[in-house]
Amino acid sequence: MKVASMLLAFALCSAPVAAHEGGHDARGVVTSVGPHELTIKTNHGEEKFVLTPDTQFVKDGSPATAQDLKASDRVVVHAKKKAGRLEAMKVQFKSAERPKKR
Amino acid sequence: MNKLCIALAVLVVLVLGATVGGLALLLRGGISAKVEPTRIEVAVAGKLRRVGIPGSFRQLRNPVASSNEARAAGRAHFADHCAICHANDGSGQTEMGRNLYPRTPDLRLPKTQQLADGELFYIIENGVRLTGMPAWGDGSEESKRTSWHLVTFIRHLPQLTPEEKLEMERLNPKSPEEWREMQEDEKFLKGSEPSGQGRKEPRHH
Repeated sequence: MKVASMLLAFALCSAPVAAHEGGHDARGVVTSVGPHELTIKTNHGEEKFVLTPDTQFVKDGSPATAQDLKASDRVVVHAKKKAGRLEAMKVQFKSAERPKKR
Repeated sequence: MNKLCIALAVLVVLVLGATVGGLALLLRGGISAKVEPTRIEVAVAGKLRRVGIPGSFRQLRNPVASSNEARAAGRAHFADHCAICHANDGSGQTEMGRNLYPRTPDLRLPKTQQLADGELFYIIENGVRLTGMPAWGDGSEESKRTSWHLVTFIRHLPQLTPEEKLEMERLNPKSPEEWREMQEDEKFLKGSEPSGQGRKEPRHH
């Protein structure tokens, strides 16, 4: 009984504390976009995000693709840290507004 | 007397086996949910789940006709109640799903899709012991109808469209902080905040 209690106590004490999965969000302006990488300018400087087949692109609330994204577009990027890189999970943007006719 | 001796021997072997197995599990990772379930555990748990579902449920067919309305009802309920562990697309790739023990299964795969309608219904209504799956049913007709809608939606998961996934994201429960951030994102995208307004804080869920 004593041994079992000690084993249980050991197991409880040695259980590692689960780390919360960290994410990273950024708002900025696209400076370049390629098939595998997106670079944006934020007020903290340039940030690079890896684009994967799982990256979700959303334009005006509808599904889109990386090809719809252009330099100077405003974007909101939701990313996760993976192997020392920022992997974009979701990239949101809007259609560029046309200049109003006078 | 002989029978009694055999029964006692079997009992001793079973108790010893359970003790050794339990000790091995404790030494392998204690009670931590971080270690991957062993193949034996996965196989035994799968068999036990199958055996644990009453045979009468295996014969049940979904009484709700598969329609856009039924799928939409199931989709909305899934987004609100299930997606926190199962993810909107049923992949189980959420912070909760990845870290439960056993891991949340990918509902799109044959292991789930090959279960009978009644088996899925039973699991939703009654939950599964020693897993993260709670019992959602309260025995009412309303609860049963909701569970059947979920069965309809689970069958549709392998064909989920990006549009449906986005619709579900709008229905996922959000904290006041998440609502505030969404509004700020929208303002920024509309151009009402200076460009380059980035947020750098690490995001924890």
